[in-house]
Amino acid sequence: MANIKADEISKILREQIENYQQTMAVEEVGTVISVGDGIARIHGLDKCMAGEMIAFPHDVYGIALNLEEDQVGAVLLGDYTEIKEGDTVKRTNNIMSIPVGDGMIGRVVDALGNPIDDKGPIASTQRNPLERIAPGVIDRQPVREPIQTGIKSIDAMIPIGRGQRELIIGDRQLGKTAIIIDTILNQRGGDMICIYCAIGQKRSTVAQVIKTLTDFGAMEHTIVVAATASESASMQYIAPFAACAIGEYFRDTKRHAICFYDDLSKHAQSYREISLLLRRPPGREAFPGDVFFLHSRLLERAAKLNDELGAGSLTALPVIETQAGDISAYIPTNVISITDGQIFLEADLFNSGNRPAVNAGISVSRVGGNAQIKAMRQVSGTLRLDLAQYRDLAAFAQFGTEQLDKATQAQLARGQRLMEILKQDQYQPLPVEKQVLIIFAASNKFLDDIEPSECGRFEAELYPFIETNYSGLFKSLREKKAFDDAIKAEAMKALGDFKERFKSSQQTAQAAEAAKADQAKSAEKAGATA
Amino acid sequence: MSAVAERYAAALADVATAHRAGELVRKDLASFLAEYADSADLRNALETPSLDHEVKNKIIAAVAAKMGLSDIVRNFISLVVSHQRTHLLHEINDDFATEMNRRVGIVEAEVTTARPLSDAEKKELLAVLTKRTGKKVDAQFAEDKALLGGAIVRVGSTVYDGSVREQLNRMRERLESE
Repeated sequence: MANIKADEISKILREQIENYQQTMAVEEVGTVISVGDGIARIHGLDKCMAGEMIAFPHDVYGIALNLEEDQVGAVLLGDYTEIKEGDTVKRTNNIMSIPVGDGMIGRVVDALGNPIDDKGPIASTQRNPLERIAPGVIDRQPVREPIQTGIKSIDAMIPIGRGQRELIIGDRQLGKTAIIIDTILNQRGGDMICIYCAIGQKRSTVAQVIKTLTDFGAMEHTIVVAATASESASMQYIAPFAACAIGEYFRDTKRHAICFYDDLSKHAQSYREISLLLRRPPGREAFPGDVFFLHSRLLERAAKLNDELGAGSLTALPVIETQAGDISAYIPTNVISITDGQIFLEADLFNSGNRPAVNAGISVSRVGGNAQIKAMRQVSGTLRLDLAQYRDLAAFAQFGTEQLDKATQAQLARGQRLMEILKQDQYQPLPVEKQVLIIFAASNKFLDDIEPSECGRFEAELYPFIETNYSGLFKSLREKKAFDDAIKAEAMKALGDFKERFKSSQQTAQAAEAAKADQAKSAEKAGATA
Repeated sequence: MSAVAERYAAALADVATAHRAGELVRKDLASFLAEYADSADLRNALETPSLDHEVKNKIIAAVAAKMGLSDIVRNFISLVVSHQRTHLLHEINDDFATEMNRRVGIVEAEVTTARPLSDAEKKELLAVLTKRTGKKVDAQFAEDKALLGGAIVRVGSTVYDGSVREQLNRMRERLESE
């Protein structure tokens, strides 16, 4: 606007005047009958398409959702306070679409693709429709490459592959978003583009997530699509579809993307709000009848494309928040049945200090096993089983273990140590070779005679020791991705070395402790006699 | 506007076409409505719930006989009154006209211009519209100084906007977006 020159204006005006006769606007219009609660009812617009964008006055757009005999029901996007009864609305002949492209990476956008991060406009050349049919059966191939979340319990027991849909489910405050953030952090330096879609969350929470990602340098490969709780239900309703449309751009340009929908329970609620306002009949829990289709068509768009189409992938990690662990409510059961497995977070585990609080018993990944690297498959094979047996025994042995036989006690001890090494702090994703090594150590009995409380220190000191003394081990694990005999022997040797050192340092520490205690005692005695 | 009025209008149009009495029905219905709008007594009598249908039908029959209404219109009004849809009568009348036009291939158009058109201009405009829509055009003309020049034609829910105001608006949009 500012840098336009006077002669350009007169040129444009001249063109306009010359072409005056040719330009006649042909529009199909309707009249607003009523507006309210983000919904407008419109008379006219006979030929309007389902899902079409409708232009309202004051630069507000809407999506036609209900096409009825004598009226059209539309949800309004944006500020609708100025729209009045009797306003004229126009068809745009476009199905709702949003801008996509490489320029989006590192940005925070709203559900319409507009930047909301103060970094200026986004240069994009392409628009993708919000609603698109998922790739067909022929266009796909089985999941074959892994996504490393960097979280030991997930990568070992519930592996996720590129193109998979894995649900993260659990009550509030159990670390669902923490798993997502760790996964995003672990993609640093990789080829994966992360799209975090916040639906109906507090603005402060979203700001916190963005700050964390920025602080850890993870925004360079991340796009945040935010429709916060203060935005209208319609924005929250389209947000995951927008995130998916952005992800599809990368999938279709032979790259890998992952979408996190945080969370779909709120999405279902906003869709319920819209549906009830449009007077669609309510069903179970007052959700409309097509709430299953709402989520299935969204998640179906996650796919691993076949080689002819470039072998790109779009992975989906939807989140569902349960109420008091009730996974048999309507929305959780729906999404569980759509996805290829779920990561179940449990309050009891969380409160007893096992974080991430992944319940390995009922968490599953139906396809990710094929994508796991061979080394991980080799070491984690018995992990699930060991943990399952431990859980059974632990419940049984709660009142004392003295009377149990040796084998049972050994199994209990093993389980305790496994639970210990699966603990992991937030924002500390581990590369897969380190995960493999620590699980290898546990399953080869290196941890059996170390107190469970010492396991954390064992792990923390192990990695720097290996890096300085056996620097080739991690490298060969990373490259070969499997345990052959040579690597196995080297790992055994390295772990043996380290354990010796750890034990002796433990003993000196204990001796020092004891000496200190003795000293204190004698000082006390001296004080008492004096 | 409402689907209900359209149903009644379509039914009336069916009967009128079957008896080849379209023009008659249109005229009779219009004259009854004029009377109905003028006479508060008639409105009260037909709308009050305290009278039963027998009495209302007698009133309608008496009024129809006096006005010389056709049987179709008389029966139709009785039907509307007994269904308690009297408030829709005006709408039904409008929809009936539209429906009859549609059946004989006439579309209604609203033409808004900045200044009154001469008869020759009207004729020319109608010829263009007929060509464009492929149907006979029954136009209503109106004036609106705010258009500055040119004309807006509305056919159904399609608007052909060739006004100077729209040209200027679009020019502004284009300049703003550059």
